[in-house]
Amino acid sequence: MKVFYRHIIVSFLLPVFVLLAPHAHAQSTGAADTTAPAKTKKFPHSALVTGSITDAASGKALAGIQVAYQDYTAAITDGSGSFSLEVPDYDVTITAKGEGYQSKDIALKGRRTVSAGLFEAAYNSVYDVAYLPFGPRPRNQVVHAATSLNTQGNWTRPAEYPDALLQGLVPGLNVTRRSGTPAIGANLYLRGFSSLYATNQPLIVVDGVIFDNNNYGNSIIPGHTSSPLAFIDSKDIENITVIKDGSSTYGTKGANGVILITTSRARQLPTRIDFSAYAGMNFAPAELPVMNAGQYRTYLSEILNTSGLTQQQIRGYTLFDDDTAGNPSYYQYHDNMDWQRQVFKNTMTNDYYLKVSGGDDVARYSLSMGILKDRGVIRNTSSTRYNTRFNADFNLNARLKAYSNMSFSFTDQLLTQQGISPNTNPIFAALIKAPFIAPHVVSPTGAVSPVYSDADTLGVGNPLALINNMQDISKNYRFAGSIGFDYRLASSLNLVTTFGITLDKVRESFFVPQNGVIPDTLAFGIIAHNRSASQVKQFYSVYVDSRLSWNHTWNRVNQLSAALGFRYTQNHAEQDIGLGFNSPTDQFVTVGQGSAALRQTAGDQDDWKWANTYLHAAYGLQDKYFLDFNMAADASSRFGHVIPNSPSIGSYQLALLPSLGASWLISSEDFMSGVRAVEMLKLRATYSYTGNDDIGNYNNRQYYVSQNLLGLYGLVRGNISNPRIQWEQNQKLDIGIDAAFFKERLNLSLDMYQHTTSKMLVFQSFNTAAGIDTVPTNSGGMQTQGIELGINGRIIHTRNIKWDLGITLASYRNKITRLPGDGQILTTVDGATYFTRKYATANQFYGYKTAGVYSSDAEAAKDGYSRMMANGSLVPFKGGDVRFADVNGDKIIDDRDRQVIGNPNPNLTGSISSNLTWKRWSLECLFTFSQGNSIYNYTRNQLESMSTTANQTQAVLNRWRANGQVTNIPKAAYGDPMGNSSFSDRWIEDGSYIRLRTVSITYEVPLKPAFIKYATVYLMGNNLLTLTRYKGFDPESSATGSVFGQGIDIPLEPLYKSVQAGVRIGL
Amino acid sequence: MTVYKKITFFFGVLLLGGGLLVSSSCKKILGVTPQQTLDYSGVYQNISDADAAVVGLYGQFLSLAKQYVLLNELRADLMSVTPNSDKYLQQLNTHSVTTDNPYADPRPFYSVILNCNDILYNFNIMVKAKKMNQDQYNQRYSDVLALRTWIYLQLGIQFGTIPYVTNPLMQVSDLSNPANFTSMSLSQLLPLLLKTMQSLPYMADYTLAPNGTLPALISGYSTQKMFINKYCLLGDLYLWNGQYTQAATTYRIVMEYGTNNYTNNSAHYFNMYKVPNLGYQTTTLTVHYGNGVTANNNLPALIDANNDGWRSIFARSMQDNDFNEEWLWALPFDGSIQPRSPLLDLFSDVNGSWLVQPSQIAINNWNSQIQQNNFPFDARGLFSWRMIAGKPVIMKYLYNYVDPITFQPIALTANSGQDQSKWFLYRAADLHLHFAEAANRDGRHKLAYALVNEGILTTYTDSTSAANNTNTQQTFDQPPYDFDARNGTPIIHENWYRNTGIRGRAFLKALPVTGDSTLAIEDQVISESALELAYEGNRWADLVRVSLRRNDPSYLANRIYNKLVQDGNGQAAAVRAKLMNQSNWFLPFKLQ
Repeated sequence: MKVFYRHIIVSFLLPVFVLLAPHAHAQSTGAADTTAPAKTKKFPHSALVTGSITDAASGKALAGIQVAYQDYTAAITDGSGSFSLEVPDYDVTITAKGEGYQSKDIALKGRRTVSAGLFEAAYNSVYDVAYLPFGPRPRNQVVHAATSLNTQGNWTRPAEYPDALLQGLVPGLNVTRRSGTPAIGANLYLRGFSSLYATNQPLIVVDGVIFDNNNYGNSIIPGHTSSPLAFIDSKDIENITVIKDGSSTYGTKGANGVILITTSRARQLPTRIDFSAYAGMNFAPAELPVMNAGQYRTYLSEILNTSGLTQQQIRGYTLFDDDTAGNPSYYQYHDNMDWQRQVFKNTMTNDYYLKVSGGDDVARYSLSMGILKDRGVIRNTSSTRYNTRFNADFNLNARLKAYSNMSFSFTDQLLTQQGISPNTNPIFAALIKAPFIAPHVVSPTGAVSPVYSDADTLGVGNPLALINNMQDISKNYRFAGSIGFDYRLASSLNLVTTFGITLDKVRESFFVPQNGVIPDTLAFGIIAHNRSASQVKQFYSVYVDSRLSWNHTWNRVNQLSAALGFRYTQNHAEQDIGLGFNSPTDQFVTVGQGSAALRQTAGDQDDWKWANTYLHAAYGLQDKYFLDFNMAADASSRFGHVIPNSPSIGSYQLALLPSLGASWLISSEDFMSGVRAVEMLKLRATYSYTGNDDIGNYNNRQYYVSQNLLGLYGLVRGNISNPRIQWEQNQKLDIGIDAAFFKERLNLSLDMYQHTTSKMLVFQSFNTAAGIDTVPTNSGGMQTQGIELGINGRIIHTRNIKWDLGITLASYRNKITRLPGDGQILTTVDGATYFTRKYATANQFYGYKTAGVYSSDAEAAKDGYSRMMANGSLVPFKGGDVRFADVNGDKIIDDRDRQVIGNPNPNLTGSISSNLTWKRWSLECLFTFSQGNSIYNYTRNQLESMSTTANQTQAVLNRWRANGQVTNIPKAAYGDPMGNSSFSDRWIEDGSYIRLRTVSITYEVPLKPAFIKYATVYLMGNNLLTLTRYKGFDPESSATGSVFGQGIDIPLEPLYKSVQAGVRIGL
Repeated sequence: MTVYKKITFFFGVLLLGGGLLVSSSCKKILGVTPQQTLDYSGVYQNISDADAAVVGLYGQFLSLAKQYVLLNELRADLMSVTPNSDKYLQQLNTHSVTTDNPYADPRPFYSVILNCNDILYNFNIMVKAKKMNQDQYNQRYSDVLALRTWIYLQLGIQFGTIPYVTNPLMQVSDLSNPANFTSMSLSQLLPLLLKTMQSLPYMADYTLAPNGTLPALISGYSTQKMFINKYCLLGDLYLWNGQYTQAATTYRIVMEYGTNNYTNNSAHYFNMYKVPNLGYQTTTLTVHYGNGVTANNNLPALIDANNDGWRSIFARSMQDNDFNEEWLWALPFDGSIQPRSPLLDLFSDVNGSWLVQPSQIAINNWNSQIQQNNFPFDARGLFSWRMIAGKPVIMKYLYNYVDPITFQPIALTANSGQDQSKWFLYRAADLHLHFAEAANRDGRHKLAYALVNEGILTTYTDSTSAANNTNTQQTFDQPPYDFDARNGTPIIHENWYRNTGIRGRAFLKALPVTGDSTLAIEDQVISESALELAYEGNRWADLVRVSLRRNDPSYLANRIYNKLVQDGNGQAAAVRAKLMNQSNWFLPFKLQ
């Protein structure tokens, strides 16, 4: 009976959805039209308010400014800046706005005469519009913690990718660029992290459609990551709004906040053409100080000596033979190379961009095209992006509007292998390669051949071969298109539908040649002389968002806007890999040309679906009191079917996630009319439930994997299913103040928050007798508390000179509240161990503490510590060994002596921005900083471990050599039998830094209105100055987005300094 | 709460309504099935799925080979550590295992058990749903249940007290139900396992292709001997449980396999599982010399080859006739197919890690035997281990890996696939030694002696009636002890006439019996087992079984002690003291 009833309702609703289908993303449509509203309504008891509007900087009266009370009445200021406006009473708020000026709310607070000064449109004002999921709203009315950036094309930062662009601009959003490689993307952590194993990246919504920024399947090119966000040209972006709470409407995708990106649309009907061209230079990074040929030769003989070779055997090596005549390899082994210079290089960047916009009453369009070619700083690498975007709006009839957003981007990348791939990473090879080895084949008489010398006898490839003969190619494209309709059913009732599709393809290949490269060993001991690989990754997604929205005002003081809608996505990700080995020569570079017997294939496929029903209601009373309610009910193919305490429809369990927010605009109260210093003061509080659905696609099902028996494939259990698996639940409490003082000369925003993750996904181990290692369960918990402050103000405010200064600060503390089992997790990544324990921060570095180096055997004997060898025997420490702290007092240094030695999470992050304009010139600076975060310097560990024949940094010149020598660098010991280089505080460094992230000078060329409407010249610099004590290439890098992996610096292309010059012309 | 429900219902309706926009089927809206893995809904649908489950099970079972060999040999007295051994192997050697010891991790065993339980559970559903017929079900169900029983017996003798899991653990909630993990001691376990084996609906071998659906060949390997022999396991369980007559009866069924399945006068009729002596006329599995009986004193003529002699037991192809007459259960590793044999690395010094070696006491045991030609050594020792480049290397697993003459690993090329080896699980020698052990305890001392030493015919020949064998060359006993080995006049070629005994096949002299014959012959059986079956994973079980039977921990403790003493291990006395307490025999069970 109940089912029948449900069917009736469904049958009723179905035609409604089908016939009246579809939305526009309210984000962009709302702001599109700036024409004055028709004043048709009247109210019975009216009053008259008079006032004057001036330019805030010059104090000059402004004519032609529109002053309005909602959409009831409006007036235009006259030549003296005066206006008079009919209002229902003297408690209301009126709005002033005009071309080239900000929009400003003026609360009458009982006054009959008001005056206001308007800032220029670009001013970072508290009355700016924030583009929220349900439409634009002035910031002074927003109940949520949200930051809105009206980027307006980012003309001063043309080569920045959208994620990197956000660095330092949003309090609480910590952006870490993955490396210096162009288009490699950044990790975005909004208010720390909320999960150990699910994603911590915010949801990205572009023009109302969820933009999937994830990578499905790793790159086959070591150290590389493709970043979908890099497909978007920053110059196409008009606004970025970051919602830190209040993301409940996105249900189980909102746990890490939402970044709403709005791309540019035609604002005006006349055709406008924007063209820009930039050229720039990237500067090779400062080299790490590795040993020169002479220093290295001494080190080499010493390390070989500890490997068990005798002095005589060592002298027998030709590379030590200094006899020019008698040694045919003399010239091969007596060079003096700066290998890093063979890898890094100053390079050029180019960027061209063209945008045409315009239209007529029925259709408006904006078409843009861009080419960005960036070469990074590694020789023979580059990234070239070709992007187009076409956004259009249509007024089909009085009731129906339509809009579309289409973008297609193609990126062609020439890469190199990076990260921990010691045989093929040219950066790493350049650091460890013996400096005395000649890069080319040299004859016994010293004649140099153009052929690169092969990998050397010390087991290091030739960086030149890796740079010039290895091929690593990635070609990617993404098409993202959406169309939408906005149908007015009744005067304030609209049906809005957006339909979007995303097609993404990543095509990668590499070829590692034989000559100059250390061969790999495959299974069964087969030597792979050369290697090739290719991969195709595809991602396909369909997205629908339909909603019924209703706006109504009662008695002029009660405003309600509500929406009831439904979002749905269907996703498919696929990955196909082919690996080839031993092609006949290095000229045959494809997988198909490799040995047929050795060819390998692999692949993966994933499907997932998500449905989200939402209710939104925003209520405003007297423009002073605001209340927001959001509710989402999510269902997903990933959820289990017996989730406790979760409602269900049929067999589908729902995530019911409500949120409530309220704000009080105190400054609009009558009693504040006397407090002249306070322009705006708003208190706000929100409490939201959100979720994280990144819990694996199939953990709710029992599945089987193939198992080989002598080449015949059978099936075995792949898991123990968890039908209770569910979204992680994230409760967000946020209390904030937004304020503006001294007529908006000083603005600040302060937030305190607490995020509580419950049902956090962990990989729980059970009874050994279950026969399976771990099962993903929702049995963890985490809490993050933090505080954020954003201040900006106008320091100098005269007609000709304006100076704005801004500061953002953010700090958070994370704590694990719940873990199953023994309440701790050890995670090993790249040689580092992370310790995650109940009641402590999630991902702390866990290793040995050290206290220098024993200066003598006697000193070591006094401690009496020893190490257990692999075979169980104990070997005492001696002079020249590192003095480790013995935590458990058993005098044996082993895993039980590890302790917390660092925390990759910063204490404080933030930025300082400055914008100085003088007449037609402006100077913008942005400093970003991070304080108190630890970095595990993996690269330095490799370069100072003194356990192999690899070249080391100059620090090891100070190594311990003889009893009595006091130093902090231990002795060289082949194979490091005493574990002197094991993961310890020796490799943990303070990653604090402050960086001049960008600086730009802009000059607007004075032009008489003609064919060229305007021209602007830019001069820009990136990363020009970095102050840090960090010893690696750069303190900013993040090889992985996982919580486990933060703060590890592996050999990646470092961030580099660059400068650009450019011009923008408007036609 | 009703308000909440109403809200839920309202949202749900909206959700479904919206979903119908996209798709007309509710299941399509949110249902997904894994593409890369196989969803539960797609398995156990027909007989091919059932076979895939069995194939997968045995593929996974192979992963236990290394632990099986190490736990049963390194903890016992025939195998020792090398300077390359890590501390975990040393722990096995000195019975000081900690729970983090990877070789003592019970989880891999339980992974196989999880699959057994899953298969058994679903086969029951399949047969009810008529997705396979009763005969197909009986064969597969019995095989899988027997394999699980075998693993539990292993767990019992290694860990003592273990969780006994029979639930397929389909959901995570099953893991927190203690009823699914009943704890059982070895003494509780044995009757239960025995009962399980007695209940099997099918005891014979699989009907393979073409008459059945399971393949008879996989990648060129016969599958005939890859599946567990259920009679052998049942016999072993009787033996463990002290039911000697039943044990002997069960073993006898296997011993008569040739008699019952092949025509009289065929080779298998006389040879299969009967430890025959084929003389020197053909390739055989016996220790023998190449240039005839008269030249038996010529040591270089000792047959030391992959295709003839006792060494060929381990080196022959699984398709080989002689191999099939000896082997009851063995699984191959192929050099070109993953997983590579983990045993090569374990034993080999060249291209391997040489982590274990023969103990000095094992070497001494072989060296103290006397051959029938009075050579003072046991050739089986030579074939079981060799000195290679100054290191004693255990060889049984390496004969298909190294060059048959130089014993250097064959150069690996892209497609050579030479590094194959086998996991040895059960052969006729096991069968005869276990039968002898049971018979001895059942009062048949002479029969036990005959099977271990020189065979039925030799032992039961009455020298007074040499000319007429009508009343000699047989046991004159009731089943299962009724062996007839008559050969000559007037009765020629009774089915046991070729049986030569374990020592006879090794060309060794028979041993004298002194003292209490039950104990003395039992000692002989166990000692012979050490000489014959060393490193095949039997030793620990033998020591535990006999020690328990005699209620004498020193039986086990002394042997370990002797090994450690002879290896010069300083902990020998402490280990002995520890092992005098039976509870210290067992590995700690890592609970999580």
